Amino acid sequence: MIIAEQKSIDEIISSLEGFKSAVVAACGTCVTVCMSGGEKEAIRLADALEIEAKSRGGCLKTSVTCPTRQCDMEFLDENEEALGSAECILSLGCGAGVQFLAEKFPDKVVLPGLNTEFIGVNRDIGYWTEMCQGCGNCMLAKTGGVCPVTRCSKSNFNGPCGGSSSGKCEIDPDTDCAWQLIYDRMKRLGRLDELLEINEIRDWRTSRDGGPRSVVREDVR
Amino acid sequence: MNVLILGQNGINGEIEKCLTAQGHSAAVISDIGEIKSFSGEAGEFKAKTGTGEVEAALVIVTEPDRKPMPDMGGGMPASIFDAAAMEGAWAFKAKSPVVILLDYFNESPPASTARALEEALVLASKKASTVFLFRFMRTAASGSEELYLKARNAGVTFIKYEKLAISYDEGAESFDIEVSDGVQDVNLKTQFIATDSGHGVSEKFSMLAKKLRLKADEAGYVNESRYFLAPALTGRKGVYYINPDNSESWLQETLEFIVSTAGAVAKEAGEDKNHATVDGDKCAFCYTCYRACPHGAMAPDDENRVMQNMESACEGCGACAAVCPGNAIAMSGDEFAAASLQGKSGKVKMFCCENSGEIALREILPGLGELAAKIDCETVPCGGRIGFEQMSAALRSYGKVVALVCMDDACRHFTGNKSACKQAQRLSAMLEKAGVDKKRAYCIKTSHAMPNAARDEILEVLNDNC
Repeated sequence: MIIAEQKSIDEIISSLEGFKSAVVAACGTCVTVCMSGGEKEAIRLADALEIEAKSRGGCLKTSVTCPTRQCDMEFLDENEEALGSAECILSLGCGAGVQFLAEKFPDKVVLPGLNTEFIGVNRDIGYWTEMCQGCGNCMLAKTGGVCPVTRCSKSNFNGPCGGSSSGKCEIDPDTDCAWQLIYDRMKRLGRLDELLEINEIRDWRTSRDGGPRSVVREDVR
Repeated sequence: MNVLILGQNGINGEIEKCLTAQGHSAAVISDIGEIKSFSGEAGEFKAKTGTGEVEAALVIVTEPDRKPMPDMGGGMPASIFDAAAMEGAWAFKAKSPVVILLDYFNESPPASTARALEEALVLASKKASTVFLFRFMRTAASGSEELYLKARNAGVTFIKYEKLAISYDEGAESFDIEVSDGVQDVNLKTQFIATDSGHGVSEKFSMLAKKLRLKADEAGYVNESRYFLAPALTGRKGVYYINPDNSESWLQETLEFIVSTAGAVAKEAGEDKNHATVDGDKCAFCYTCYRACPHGAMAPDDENRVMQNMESACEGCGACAAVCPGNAIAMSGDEFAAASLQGKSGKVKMFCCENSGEIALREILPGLGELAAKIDCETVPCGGRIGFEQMSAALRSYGKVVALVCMDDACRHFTGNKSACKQAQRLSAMLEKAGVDKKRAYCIKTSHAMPNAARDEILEVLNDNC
């Protein structure tokens, strides 16, 4: 799931400067689940924005709408009227949602209300961690289901660096060393010998280094 | 009625006997690690084990036998879970080392281990000479390895012992400790020993509590303390908890009470009481409410891929509705919220917990004179019902908003009071960041038994211009 965090309210306020009305567009999928951009957060943000505007004698009229997903045009079409009902749209979707809304409404300013963080998992209420970078060439089969691309700070492919100490990463004592996790898990699975195999230098063109990516599936088109 | 007894405890046989004598049947699963999953509500619980499924109307969890404390020679040790006592340890550091004792033969409970290490680390960081005695400490599995390393680096002396003898000198108010690791003997004199008092439950028990979705206290015990009038109650209806320290007559009475509640639970299910309803169209099936519900009353409807409320298990506190990120949960009784004290138009909106705030406010209101007219009160079933959005919506028309909730540890729904305070804090922080006066959202803790406890705080809010 995409994990995102709400932008600080002062940043949102300054991006809304000059607008008299805004639709706060929630998104009913990932950002709802990670509690940053669902309908509830949209209502909260809209209230706070109105209170702030009122407190300095200004006026901002807000409304809230929540498409099931901002990343599918059908859901945006469904909500077209509500989304288009104000001067600008403040999207609480991930970066994909904001951009798709901008495509849908070419003549409107669409502003981001969230910072999109990463693809991750929910470990507890209010606690998410990064697990995948979408590098386009998954090597989890070789590393016991622990991703060195994402979870090693240096994306090392063949074991830990010299900064691995007591199972922790040198960049942050709260971060586990991915290669320690990989080693422990392979040991548990009785597959340590597989770690002796050297992973070749990676072709990063499948990742962001190859420029913006797209997937075209002729079989389902 | 079939009653399922979970746990291994000396009194299991006694419980079984009592239940059969009263005409009920009992099933016992003594190895609690056997439980794979647990679902349902009172009258129709289902426990899946590795070998099959057990159905039961009621469930009794028996606590594992508490480990006897090592002989303290007549002295009283402090508890590592007692924050004030641990703060007091500081006073002894000049005279003698502070001793922390974790006396477990095989595995030390994860909660005790973590807490003992934390306390040792704090003491050593403050340059108190600290000795940590243990027989077997579990660190890796409980994630305490790092704390252990930090404590060692901070100068805590760790002694793994095989034999321990403690005597207490009343005149000098000091303990004499003889401890041996089998090779070397060490003698220690101290005025302060802290233990977990045989506290802390095994990892297995913690796992069981999690599967049954019972709220546990810091030491991992299923927290029965707040239900002081009926100590066998847990947060989840139909699931009971018995610890073995009580007398036989207590057990008899308690079991009679337990089976008598079955009818009441069934009756309540048919009543139109305040409970949560989930809008399936909005539910993102994110499990937030499932995790947050203090009464284990939310259950997945796997067929429709939405969460559902088990009405008979629901206590109507509204914690789920407040936390639901999709705004999909409503409380059937939300309209009753605007009760008794309403009708005054004022400048301060107060959301009052019906168990504490409303009762306390009613008591102190007559003494507030003209200021009372400033208050507009809305009763809520629990502080946990109050979300950021209720408070921010109130601020659209009111100058200030206050959540008047229970004192710590007094919340009927475990942590509703804390949740209200967090919501108020977040709203304040957001308003401050936005450049709006942050002193507009408050959370005040009070008690129905001591209505004047929060009087001054309330006066301060009312007197401050808004």
